[in-house]
Amino acid sequence: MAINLSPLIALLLVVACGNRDAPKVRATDTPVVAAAFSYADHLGWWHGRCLAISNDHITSGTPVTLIVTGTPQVVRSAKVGEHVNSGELCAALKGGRATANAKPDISFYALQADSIETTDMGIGITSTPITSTVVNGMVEASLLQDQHKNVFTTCATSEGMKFAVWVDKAYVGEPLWSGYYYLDYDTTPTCP
Amino acid sequence: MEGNAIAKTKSGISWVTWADAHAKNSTNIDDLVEPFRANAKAFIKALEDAGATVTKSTTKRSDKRAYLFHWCWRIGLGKAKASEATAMIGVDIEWDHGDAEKSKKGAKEMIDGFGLAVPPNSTNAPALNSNHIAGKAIDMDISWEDTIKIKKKDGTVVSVAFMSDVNKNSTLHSIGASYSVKKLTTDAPHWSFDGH
Repeated sequence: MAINLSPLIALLLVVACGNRDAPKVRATDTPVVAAAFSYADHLGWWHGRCLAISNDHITSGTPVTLIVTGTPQVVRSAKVGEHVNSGELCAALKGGRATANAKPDISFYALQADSIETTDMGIGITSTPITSTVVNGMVEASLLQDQHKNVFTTCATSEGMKFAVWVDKAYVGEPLWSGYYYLDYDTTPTCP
Repeated sequence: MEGNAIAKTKSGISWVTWADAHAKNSTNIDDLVEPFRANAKAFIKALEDAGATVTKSTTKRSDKRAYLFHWCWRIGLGKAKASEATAMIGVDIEWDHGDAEKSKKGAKEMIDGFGLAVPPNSTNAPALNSNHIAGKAIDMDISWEDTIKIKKKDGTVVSVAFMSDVNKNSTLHSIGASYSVKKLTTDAPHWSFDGH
């Protein structure tokens, strides 16, 4: 899962330099919030009731906010369950998918959620509850609890899915975080 | 379930079991077609000779499996009527249960059983044809530590640093291309005869 921290670093520099053109940010708040949130530790992708995330130390019962990246996007609350490593419990580990998806730095967890369909998928956030709104069918939230909103996308590649979190606008610049899900079948790309 | 066209079996979860037994994708490089098979073997040999670890996943995909994926996706999601499904020799499935809801339910069981994804805004079902189905593509994970020296097809040796995002490793892509094994830069494991 690729992580781009440059927007965060840029934000901290802006605060430190006191650029008068920069958005108004309370300097005392930002570093504290930023230090508390690690994208890699807290963001993952999920399909059905299975979460893939670069964090092997999530305790069972940890709350997770699920962005269901359908049309429109919706937000669901769930809890992280136990580690899973079988295709019976995790679609991402079925058959030929396992080789490509089960990377050493990725852990798979069951999701405890009532209102999730087997075909649902999207991005999961394990952290304190996220305040979000839905604008034009897309969820908006501020992961750093600053003046920037984050938006969430899922699109198809030739044989997989790409998940990403963006600052302010989708598909503009580099994503803050992205993840790739290998499907092991051919489909028509929808990614821009 | 294989047999004549008269004894068709209705769509449903049993077809997932059937496909896992009779319509599996291959991970064997020998199932690829020439000249891509020889080209892929030569590229992998060059990688391994240089010290890289190559983990192959899918080579040739089953056309029967792709057929089942395609039509269960379309029917199960209500994007096609069961009566619209084409037939395929060797897959004696009856998509039409004689009742639209039952047909949809049978197909949906297969979507769930196969673990198919439903991308947002997508009206495109899993493909019936592809380079994998034609035996002209391979999915593989290539890893090494630091920098290694890999021999191109013309014999020249190129130093290549490992990059965690293989899609961005253009030096590696150029070495693969020298063997006519071309990288698709949207899907990390995917290499093919034409880059698609």
